[in-house]
Amino acid sequence: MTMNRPVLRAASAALAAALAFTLSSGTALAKARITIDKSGDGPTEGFNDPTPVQPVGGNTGTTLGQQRLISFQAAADIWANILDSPVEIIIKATFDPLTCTSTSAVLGSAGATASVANFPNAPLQNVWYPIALANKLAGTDLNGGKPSITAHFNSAIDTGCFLGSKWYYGLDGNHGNDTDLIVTLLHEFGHGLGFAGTTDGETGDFLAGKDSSGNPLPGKPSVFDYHILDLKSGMHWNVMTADERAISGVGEQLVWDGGSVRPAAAKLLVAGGLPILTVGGLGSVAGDYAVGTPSFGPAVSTSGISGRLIAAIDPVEDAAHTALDGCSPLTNALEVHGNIALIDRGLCNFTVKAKNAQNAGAIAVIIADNNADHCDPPNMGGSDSTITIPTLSITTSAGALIRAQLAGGLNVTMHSKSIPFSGADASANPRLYSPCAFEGGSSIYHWDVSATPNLLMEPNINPDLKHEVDLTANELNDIGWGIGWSGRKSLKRGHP
Amino acid sequence: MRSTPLFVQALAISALILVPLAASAAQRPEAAATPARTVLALPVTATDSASDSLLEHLLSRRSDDLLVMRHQDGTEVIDFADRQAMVVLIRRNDDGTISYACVDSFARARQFMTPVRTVVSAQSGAPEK
Repeated sequence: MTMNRPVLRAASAALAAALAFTLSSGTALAKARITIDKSGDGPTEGFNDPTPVQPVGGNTGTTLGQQRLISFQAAADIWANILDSPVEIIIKATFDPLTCTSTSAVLGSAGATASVANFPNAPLQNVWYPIALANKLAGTDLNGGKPSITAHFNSAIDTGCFLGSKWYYGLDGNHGNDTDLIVTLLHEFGHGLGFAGTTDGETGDFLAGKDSSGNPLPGKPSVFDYHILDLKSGMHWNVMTADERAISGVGEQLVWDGGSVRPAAAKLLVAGGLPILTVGGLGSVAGDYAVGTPSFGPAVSTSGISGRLIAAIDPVEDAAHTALDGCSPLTNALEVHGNIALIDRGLCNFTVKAKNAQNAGAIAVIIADNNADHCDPPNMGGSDSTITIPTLSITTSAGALIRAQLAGGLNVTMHSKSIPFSGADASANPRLYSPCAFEGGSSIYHWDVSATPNLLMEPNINPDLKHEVDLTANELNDIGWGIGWSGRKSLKRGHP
Repeated sequence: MRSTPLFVQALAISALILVPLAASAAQRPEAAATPARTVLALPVTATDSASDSLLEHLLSRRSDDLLVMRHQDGTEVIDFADRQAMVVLIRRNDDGTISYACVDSFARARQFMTPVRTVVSAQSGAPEK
């Protein structure tokens, strides 16, 4: 028997409201109303799965379906208590079996259902806003009562198909080795509410579309673009060309420029250190180089360790090996002793290379990558508690450049550069994730992974995240959501 | 009876496509002269191929074929029809650690769910680069 959708939606809303009332998270104080529309699920599956379960972590549901819905509503209520909108935000959600194997799985997805431009009270003209925010700013529903966000989550996770790890439906965050659904939902709902732009981060193209006659329309920037600042050019994405945006989307040079995020980030983000290799002298090779770090040996300190860089030489074991791979005891130990060893990556463990250098008396090790396609120096795995000297890695190109100058003598320093705010520039503008190789979906529309503490909107769901929205609320503030604050006042054309 | 959303069908079928065939790729994080070779399970039937294309379509950021509705007051609404979504994935790495990634492209999803890394990130939980 199929229920018609309005009835299901009404039933869903009533149940959600009832469930929300039972929660202790201050639902009654919510400024926005966020409703879970579960009409996409059948009567005995997903949110309606009748499988009996024990209440867990404050989630009072006694069936799997109830617990799923309570968790969804709890995540929605966390956002509802922060946001302000006269228009109900409907999240159309389903819980269905999706891809899940013992090595990988889809957890779920979410996103805004539409973007809107040139609506009444729009702070900026010809700019796309996520539908939930546009509704709030317009003070009316601009899309005929349709959901503002869609969410599809994987019910198969509850079978333990992924390494036995399941969804944790508790409201207390004590998820253990399971995946905390509420944190995952806070992240995905954050995207749907506005922590995502509509501009293609890889091509730099604005969202365009076509008219009813099929004619292509010119693209428009999203409100998100007004806050993406390219540190190299000093320009925001909304005033750059598509090519310029595409170039700036890689290379770790993007920050969020927003008046609400900045002071919050200055309070939240702790000071940190950035390991770096400095090559001394006046030659063309002199300067700072990005490095990768190991999972073994000591970390480099702020004062660092300095010495002459010496190419480590070892026997060529066979046709596959070279004299520069450091896979055997070094033959130039007398030269390496008391200095820093340069070794090429490949053919044996990182720890073996480091240990051979240490045994030769090296005070530290630099390993040059051997794949020119890697634009970042590799982080190095492995474990050996007997390694007592620091190791860093550099890219293939940096390795070639430096190695070519060794004959003239090079002094280098391996050290940690102090930064006032981890994951942010010196002005506390948080970095947007923009690694040197573009990662679709992860790049641009997430915070950088270098932030400490971990942030909700980093591209990975870190297990230490709480049921909090940290800087995400400030980001939404900057694009116009307003928490006792006006988006219109905050934005001027071309500048945050 | 519920009707399974197109998106769900696509993702469910995509399991056939995304299952990595080289889960036992080299366990030598240190060697890595080149990334360990992995093999994707490519679509072998017309149905698989269509589903592959569909998932790619749903996760794409293509917009030139999306209809922009213009209201009389000048409001313009572009409906994504389940596109522009972000998908959260989870994966077990070669060294047994777990990584998450939030992506919006099929290519990136397929890349993440196929173990191609042989170098372990020192940052616990950091996404692959």
